[in-house]
Amino acid sequence: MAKKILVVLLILLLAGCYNYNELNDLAIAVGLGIDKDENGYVVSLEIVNDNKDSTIYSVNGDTLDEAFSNLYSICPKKIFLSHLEVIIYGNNIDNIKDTLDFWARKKDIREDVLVFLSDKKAKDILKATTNSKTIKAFNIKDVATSTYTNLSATKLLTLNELLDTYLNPNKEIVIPIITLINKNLKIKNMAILKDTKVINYLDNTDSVNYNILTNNTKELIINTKNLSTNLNNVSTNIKVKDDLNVYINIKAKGTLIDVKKNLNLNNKEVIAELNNEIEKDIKDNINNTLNKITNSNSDIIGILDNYYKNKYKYYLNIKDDWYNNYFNKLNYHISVNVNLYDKGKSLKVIK
Amino acid sequence: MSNLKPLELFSLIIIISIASFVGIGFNVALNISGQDTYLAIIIAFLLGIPSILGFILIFNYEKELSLNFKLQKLFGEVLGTIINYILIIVAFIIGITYMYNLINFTLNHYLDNTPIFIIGLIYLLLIVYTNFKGLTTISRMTFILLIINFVLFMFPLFNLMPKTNIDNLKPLLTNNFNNILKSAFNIVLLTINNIFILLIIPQKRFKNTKKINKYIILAYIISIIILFFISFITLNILGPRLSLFYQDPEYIVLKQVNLFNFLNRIENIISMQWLNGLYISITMIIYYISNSIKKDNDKKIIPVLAGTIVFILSMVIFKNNTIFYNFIMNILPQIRLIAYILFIIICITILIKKKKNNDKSLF
Repeated sequence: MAKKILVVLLILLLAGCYNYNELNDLAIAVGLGIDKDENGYVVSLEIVNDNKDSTIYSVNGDTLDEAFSNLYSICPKKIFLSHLEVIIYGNNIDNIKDTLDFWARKKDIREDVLVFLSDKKAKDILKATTNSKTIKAFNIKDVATSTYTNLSATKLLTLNELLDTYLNPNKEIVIPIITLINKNLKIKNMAILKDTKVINYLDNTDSVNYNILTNNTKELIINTKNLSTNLNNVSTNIKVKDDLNVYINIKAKGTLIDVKKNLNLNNKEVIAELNNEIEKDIKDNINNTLNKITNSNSDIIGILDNYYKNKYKYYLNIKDDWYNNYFNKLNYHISVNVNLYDKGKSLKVIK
Repeated sequence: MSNLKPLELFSLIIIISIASFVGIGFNVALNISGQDTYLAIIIAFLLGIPSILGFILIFNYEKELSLNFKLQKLFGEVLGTIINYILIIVAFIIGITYMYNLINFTLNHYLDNTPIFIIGLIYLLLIVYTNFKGLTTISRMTFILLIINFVLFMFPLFNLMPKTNIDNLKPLLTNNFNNILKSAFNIVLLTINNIFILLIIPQKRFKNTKKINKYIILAYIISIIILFFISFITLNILGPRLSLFYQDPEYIVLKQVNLFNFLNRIENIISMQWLNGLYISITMIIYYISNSIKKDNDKKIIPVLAGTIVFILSMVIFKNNTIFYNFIMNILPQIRLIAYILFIIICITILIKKKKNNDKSLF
């Protein structure tokens, strides 16, 4: 008898019918925009209808949680955030800190979702009609990935990385910016944050240099007076010394894309000169970017973190007064070593 | 009746040692030694050696008896029974902690809309049913689950290895060495020492016991290696800050597994290994409790009662996560210390008895 009761009980419990959610009853969210107006937060959610179509729902709320709850007043389905691809902060969000705990605590948001800042309203970015994919979140992710992979002019900031940098007292956040140009989505480089507030921006070259300095490049294109080259295998090693000297050693391999002057590319000395030309260009650009970062007084490269990891005793002495006394007194020593190992298909220059 | 294989004991040791690391041991160690936790595991390997030797010593003493009868033989009926009941209480507490951890993990990552009672009830039915089937079934099932767990462990390990960033472990030894030592001792208390519940199985239940000691030591070494890799990979990929930030960092890190560039979002399948481990551990704890209490092996009411008490108390005591985490951080290691001290006493008593009987063999 007991066995029969057990079997009946198991059938009831294990049938999988309890508390189930039909796929048709789920609102699968792929994109999320956050803005602020006089009524508090505005949450815009892109919900996938099918593989070609999506709907944007926008609601207000005093808090982020309230705005999320209010979504149910206009969205008839259960909101499912596990497939969320992008989170976009609008230009009117003055401090991203207030939202971080919400993302970190929400069980169904994955940690690899990409985070962007926009110079427009996030709602407008999500509602923009683009030329390519009609599901905007997928389009944003593809454009960002393409910009990062082929140009190294942005970074793919995941929620995990954002949280880790926020929790790290020795480093400041850099966040990619997304914008609309002629109805087309464009990744417009990056913003420098200090204490989670935007204080400055990195332009295209600065963004590439930032990626070089943080050892986060895929491929990048360098244009100098005499040539264009595609650099890959870029590796950067930063060593810090107790006397505030910072040694930056950059190594890269390059492929010639275009030569602008008639040169004998079979001559070793010519190649060495071209290598020098690229090295000087990178060095100058990196110096400019470092100046910009120093002027912003925001340690986005993580020099203090480098001291923490490699010169712990010295770190203990400087950490409390880092921005007041030390950060702007750092002496950067940059060495660049480029090897143009591939000249492309042709051995001669057509000029 | 000798029907168990040494390989099944080997499987039980590995599964039981690892089960309490995820969600309990790792969190405790991480809170004490932070990014030096992987070093604490290396030290725990050395600190655990006396525990494993003590296990072998007790396991080889009076091979035909289970632990409760060994205690009566060593300490007399009264004292032996008292020690036995203290160990039963410790086993109950471990069972309650594991039950909550199992239910909480399932609730957090698999079934967040399902009432906690339903989840617990299903596990309870499974655990009690397995107990009805007896030790032969438990140990054979453990062996099969170990193979499954091994596959579920190795694939993510090889996949996550290239994603590690050794910089996340720097600076080395920022923690006070005492903290690392304390963390190592806690790892021994909360993981390796769990295998005391296996002493309820008399050695005579195993056939071919010639190499059984080697199997035990090998299982111990493999368990420690697995613990090391879990902590090393988690700390390396998430870094110390995120590892401390998340409730289950070991689970979060599995979200980065991407096999052959098309198998991703498989963290729920991979983390099944921890559910398997906790399920086997609770099953063995219920087996330990019921066999330490009952005299007549045919009675099935004791596993039902023990399982139900463990389930209900896990619901009643741990009303929320905060109570649970405070308990595993502050109280559980102290309770486990009681069992640890008792086992030292048992080992010393066995050694004294052996000396009195002029028995020079250590095991």
